[in-house]
Amino acid sequence: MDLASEAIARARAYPQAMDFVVETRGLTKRFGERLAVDSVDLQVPRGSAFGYLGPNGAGKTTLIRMLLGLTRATAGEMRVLGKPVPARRAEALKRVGAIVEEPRFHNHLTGRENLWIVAAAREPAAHARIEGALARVGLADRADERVRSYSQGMRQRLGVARCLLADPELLILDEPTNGLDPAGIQEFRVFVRDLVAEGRTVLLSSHLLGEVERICDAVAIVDRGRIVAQGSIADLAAREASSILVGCDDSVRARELIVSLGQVTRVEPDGDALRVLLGQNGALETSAAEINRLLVGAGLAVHRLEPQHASLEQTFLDITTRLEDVA
Amino acid sequence: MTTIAAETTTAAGVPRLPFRLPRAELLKLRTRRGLMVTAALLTVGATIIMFVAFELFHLSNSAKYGPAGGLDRFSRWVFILSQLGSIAGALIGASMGADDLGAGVFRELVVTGRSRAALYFARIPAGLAVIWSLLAGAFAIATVFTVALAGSAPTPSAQLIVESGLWLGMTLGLAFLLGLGLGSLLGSRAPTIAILFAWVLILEPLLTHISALGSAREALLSAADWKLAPAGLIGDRLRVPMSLGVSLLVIAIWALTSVVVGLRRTQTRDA
Repeated sequence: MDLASEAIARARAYPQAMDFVVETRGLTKRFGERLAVDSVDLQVPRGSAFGYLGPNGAGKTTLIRMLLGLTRATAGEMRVLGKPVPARRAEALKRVGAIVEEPRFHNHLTGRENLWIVAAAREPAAHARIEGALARVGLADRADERVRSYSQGMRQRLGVARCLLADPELLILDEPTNGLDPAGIQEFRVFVRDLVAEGRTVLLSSHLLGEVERICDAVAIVDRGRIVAQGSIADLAAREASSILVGCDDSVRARELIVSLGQVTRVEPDGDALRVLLGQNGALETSAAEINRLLVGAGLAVHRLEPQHASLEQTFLDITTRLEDVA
Repeated sequence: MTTIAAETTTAAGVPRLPFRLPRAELLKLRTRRGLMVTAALLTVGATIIMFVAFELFHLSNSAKYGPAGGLDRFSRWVFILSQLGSIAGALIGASMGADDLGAGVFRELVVTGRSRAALYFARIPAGLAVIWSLLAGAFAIATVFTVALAGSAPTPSAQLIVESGLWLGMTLGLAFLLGLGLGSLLGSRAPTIAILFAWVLILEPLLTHISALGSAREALLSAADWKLAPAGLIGDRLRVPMSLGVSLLVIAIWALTSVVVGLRRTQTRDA
């Protein structure tokens, strides 16, 4: 199954009756003259993996820091798990686990001791979750070693174990795959999907388009502090132009025929084939069938007909390119 | 047995651990080997070294050097420990104030939702427990040496011993609070220690000796602290004339200011 198909499959299971675990309205953070977060209205549905996607410096970490009460908002409102932040921050964060930037630890303590310290700041039951959390991230055997001897991947896993001490309804993970090797990244993807399958919500920020597309059900695309698009990945991709690759024995004649179709915006050569770009209203499979019928009816021999869904990457680049053009 | 089990577990069977945050602070502190060794050397180690040296001098020339125990030696020990112990207290305070920030762990604690004030105040009982434990060890050793090695020399009264212990406890505790407040304010251990050492070891003694400063010297923590030192100890030259009330007020202001400044910074800084 390709990425787009996976996204569509997940979108079908995507919650329709929206119950949001994170809601912000007009959230703004200014550092002097610089606007890091600009009137952000974000809604993260419960029980989903939600990607907060944007290039480096787009204000992703700043937004997360505000949600967690690590820095104050300049303006706007936010609710986490239904509780207003910062007014009821303690209640809001009780069931939230978070990794902001890279997870940090006391290096002179063991993994288990580091978890004990954070458990002490949480409810008493958090202590009883330490062993389970260590086992779940595969660190049970190394838990009594000092953290200074841990690899980057182990530290990342210990950070996730620390999140699990909250028995979290919401996990907020900031660039969680940074520094992980390919095996670690694959393991992490499975881990996030398992958490979502348990009914938890994962909000992860990333600048890696492919990563978000593989893991998440929905996404908000952020650029220069503003959310420029928000919704399920399939919906966002559907808003952008999809295309069909067409191969036949007479490309010139085929091109003349295809451009006459209403939903086609452009036809351009793509190697030996033609790439047919559809407008936003162009249903991919229906259009492919129509093109096939048209070309075969005109006596052309069609040997290739390949619908191509717009990827999140394409969507992201299209949106940000449009914004740059406007600017 | 049932009663004990009921008291030590919650309804969900989770172990009930009182004072969890101070325990966590204690865990962080006691596993800092370098710091703990230094603090132990400045208190227990210094005490042992001091009395062993007194005894060696006495054994080498008993006519010139009196017994290793007795009132005079005890008095010297109290003076020296008030200085070295203050350094240990300030070191521990500075570490507790700055270590979470330096390691980046303060952020991880804040995202649990626990109030920053609770995180800050948990450091005080933990730090005092460590510094007072070290003091208790040093004090016990010093008292034993003072009495056992006194020979024909007079020994300190029980009242003087108790008063000295309480005064040392206050002095070391104040140094700890000063270190904690400044460490929390600056968020970095090295500059905190440098500033504290410069103040405690150089500037305060210097200012205390400048009689031209007159009653302005009453505002110095060390001057107010020495006012409360038991009578008869050496170090009387450090005493600045002041009333008991002023002394208590100055000490309260220094202690409170240190705690409040550290708390305020902990509550307002970006984590």
